[in-house]
Amino acid sequence: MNNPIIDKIANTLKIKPFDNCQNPQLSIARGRLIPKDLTGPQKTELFSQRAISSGSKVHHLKDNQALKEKLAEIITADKRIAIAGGQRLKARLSDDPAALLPETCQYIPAKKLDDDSELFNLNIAITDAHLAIAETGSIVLASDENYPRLTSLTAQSHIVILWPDQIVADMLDFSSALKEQIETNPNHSYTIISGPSKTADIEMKLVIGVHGPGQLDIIIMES
Amino acid sequence: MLKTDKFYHSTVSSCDDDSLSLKLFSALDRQCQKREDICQELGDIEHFRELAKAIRNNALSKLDSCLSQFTAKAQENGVNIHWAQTSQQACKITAKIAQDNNVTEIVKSKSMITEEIGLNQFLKDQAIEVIETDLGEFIIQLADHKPSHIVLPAIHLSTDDVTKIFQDKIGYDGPPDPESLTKAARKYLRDKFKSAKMGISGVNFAVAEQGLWTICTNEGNGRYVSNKPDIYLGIMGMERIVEDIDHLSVLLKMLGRFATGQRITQYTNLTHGPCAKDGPSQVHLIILDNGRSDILASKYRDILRCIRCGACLNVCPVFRNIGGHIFPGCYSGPMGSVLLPLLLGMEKAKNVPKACTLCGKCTEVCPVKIPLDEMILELRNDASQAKMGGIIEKLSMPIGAKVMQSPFLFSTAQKLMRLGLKPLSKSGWVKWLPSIPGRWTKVKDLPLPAKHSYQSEIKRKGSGPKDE
Amino acid sequence: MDTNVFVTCLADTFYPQAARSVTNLLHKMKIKVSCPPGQTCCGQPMYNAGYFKDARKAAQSFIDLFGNTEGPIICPSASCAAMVKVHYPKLFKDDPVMAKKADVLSGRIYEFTEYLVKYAKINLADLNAEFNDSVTFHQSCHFRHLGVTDEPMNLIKQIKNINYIPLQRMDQCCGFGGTFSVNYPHISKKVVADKVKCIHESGASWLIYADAGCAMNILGYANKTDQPIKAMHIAELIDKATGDLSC
Repeated sequence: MNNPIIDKIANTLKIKPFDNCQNPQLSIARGRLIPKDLTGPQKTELFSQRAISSGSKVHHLKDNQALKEKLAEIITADKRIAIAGGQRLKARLSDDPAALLPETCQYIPAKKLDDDSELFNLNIAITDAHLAIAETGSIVLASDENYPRLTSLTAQSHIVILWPDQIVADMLDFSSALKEQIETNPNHSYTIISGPSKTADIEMKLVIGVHGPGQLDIIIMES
Repeated sequence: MLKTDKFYHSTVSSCDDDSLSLKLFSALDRQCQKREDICQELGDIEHFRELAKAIRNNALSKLDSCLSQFTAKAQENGVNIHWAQTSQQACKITAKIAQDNNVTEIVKSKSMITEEIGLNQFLKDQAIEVIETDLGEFIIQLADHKPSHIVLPAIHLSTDDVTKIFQDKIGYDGPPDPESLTKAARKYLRDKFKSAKMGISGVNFAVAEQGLWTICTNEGNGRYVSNKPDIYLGIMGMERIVEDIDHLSVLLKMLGRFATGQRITQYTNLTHGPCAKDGPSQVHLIILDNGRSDILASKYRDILRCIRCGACLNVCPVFRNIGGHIFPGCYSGPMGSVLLPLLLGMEKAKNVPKACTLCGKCTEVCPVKIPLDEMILELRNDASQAKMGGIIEKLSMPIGAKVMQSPFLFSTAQKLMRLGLKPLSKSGWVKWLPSIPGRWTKVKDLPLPAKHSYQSEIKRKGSGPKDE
Repeated sequence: MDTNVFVTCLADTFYPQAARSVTNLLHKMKIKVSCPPGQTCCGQPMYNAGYFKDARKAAQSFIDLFGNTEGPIICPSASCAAMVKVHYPKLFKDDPVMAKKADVLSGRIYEFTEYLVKYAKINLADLNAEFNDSVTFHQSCHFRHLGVTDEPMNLIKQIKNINYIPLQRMDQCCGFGGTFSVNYPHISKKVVADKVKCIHESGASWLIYADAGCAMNILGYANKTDQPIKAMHIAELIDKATGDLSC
């Protein structure tokens, strides 16, 4: 296929190549900030520290009972709640996450969320995480045919449940994990979330909760 | 001529506005401090800058193959790729996508490239409304201003200014504080996110090997525009590409840290293509040249490494006093001073590179090591060679060179200068001079040259130790 | 080794005491110093205005003059030193003969404090330097091009009894910028106004500077606006602090 722009670029680069252009692949490993060999607890510790510093709340919980109590603490009565990745959460928790919700809140099932008035009227979105990154204190969501990632944006508050084995040390570990996944299953988009929605566009004053949630609770379950 | 230049006159009015520099200083000092603090985590910052530079150069050095690989992969993923050589073409493609889908309302996240091509105005003329969804961009869209900073577009406005704008344009009746104003914008824009059938964003980086691209936002609007509407269109400059996802990782480390002093922005979306159940059903991407292929062929190709972090604007002593919305294009500060003459043509922006003290602070903080001050100098030389340097400089520079080539003329000039200035001086200072030198004395006094220059002194006395 | 002083046109004309102090101090350090006669200017004004052709002419004179000398060339100006060190090789990159000469001089030129710290490895305590007053220091922009960062401050701190007060935004440009200051006097004024404000807010008795260009600009504005500043070149400070050594 002929493309005049690419042809022009190719021609330019042929006449005027970049010199001394070393392949950064050789030294890309030196772009690492967090050592690969951190122990599990060290990764969890660093992740928590950095997530907190970018505005997230982090909770370390022992078991499903503790989770149930924590959810009851975070979620007050009458809240409208969506759960994404419910099947995956169920598998890891050996329990239906919806069953862990306080009885007073309202669980909105996925099929209802096609309706914008439901989607934009959520108080809380609970999701699992695809991965988490210690370096930046971020969690990563993958697109999911069964459940829109958007709930974690439209809700006023986002609760993530993750496990220590999901935490990678450095952004570079995140990219190599992603590389492998894209090779086997290329049909995903990803969202890296590193804290609540924020802005400083008016006189540099920090305001939390612009378009997305004003609160991000990250629950780390004991393995 | 400087005197008849629009940009020059705008700098005068910007400088007259003391409140502007106050706002800029306080915001940019904070921005710099945040960058410095978080960059300490990089340890050897220089090493990271070298690495980021190598990553950008690597992609540029094989831009043709990177783009071919990227577009093939993206098409495989279901993305509609469009190529645009000019702004006009890019605007037309956008309008056509909207019209083909009966779209009359578009939500857009902050994107410098759409400012560059004048997209909003173009679509408005086609009766398609574009709503800016980044809070800063939303404010200036309501106020009909241009962005005053590539990262902080509404930095020139105070809380009171924003309150007034919201009152006039969206019927705001709340208190004048950022929190309440932000909540009002949230409410207003959520309705737009709900109703708009098409979203547009720029592209921070495209990844050749995986056919992905990223949008970084702190507010979450980038996620909305790329996820919520049925149709999503990304518009990217053809140089915004990296070879693979590891390279992206390193650049994301740099972008967040250098732009806003964050380890990474709050939301980073990696868009892969359409995903009917969890994202748009139609995804388009426009790859724009608009002069970039000419820059690639020129001695200014290093500017194509730019990742639009705005660090150079934040440290620039000139930018801190004039702000960005008076530049003759959407880019401003040091990177704008280089890009604008290249994108718009020297004639339209010849005085922009002159508004620089050549302090080099921009180059010092650039995460991808673009030699901005050197390029500004080079542009000045291009302007002078194209006889666009201004008549006074054109006449005085060769004379200066003549004087500097002759020790005799030089020492004579020194003596004549003292002779001429002495009668105008008081206690060693000259307070007024006519004509061009008067531009100096209008704002600063000029010291009277010493009675004896150092060289004439040692000629008389020798250069031994002195105890005076 | 013998050294040479490059006076620079601005110091020669407006601030000869800076050059005098450089020579005095080198004498005190028992370093032989000469001042090659017939010096003019490094060509920076033309270069920075974007008139490379004219800059080359002035640079040629400098290269001819100093090319005939040997040993380090010391100059009391970061921007002139940067011109020779960094920009001369670029200016002559298309002229192999001149480029070779430019490269040699590029390796020989030192800004004054750079010479003291990096080349002579001086410790001012050894010269019994003492100064009983408070000072603040404006870091000239072109130290950046020389790779000089803390060296001038470290020298100042070696002086006994000195009260060194760091300047806020110390490495922010003073707004001189050569032809910039007459092309855009209103911007230059605002930039220097902030500098003068920071200097006064430091509360120091003395402003120490390293470039005559910065001094003209800062002091000229301070005088125009009736907020005078006592100032001296860093060479003068060190010369004063080391006293009249009778050696």
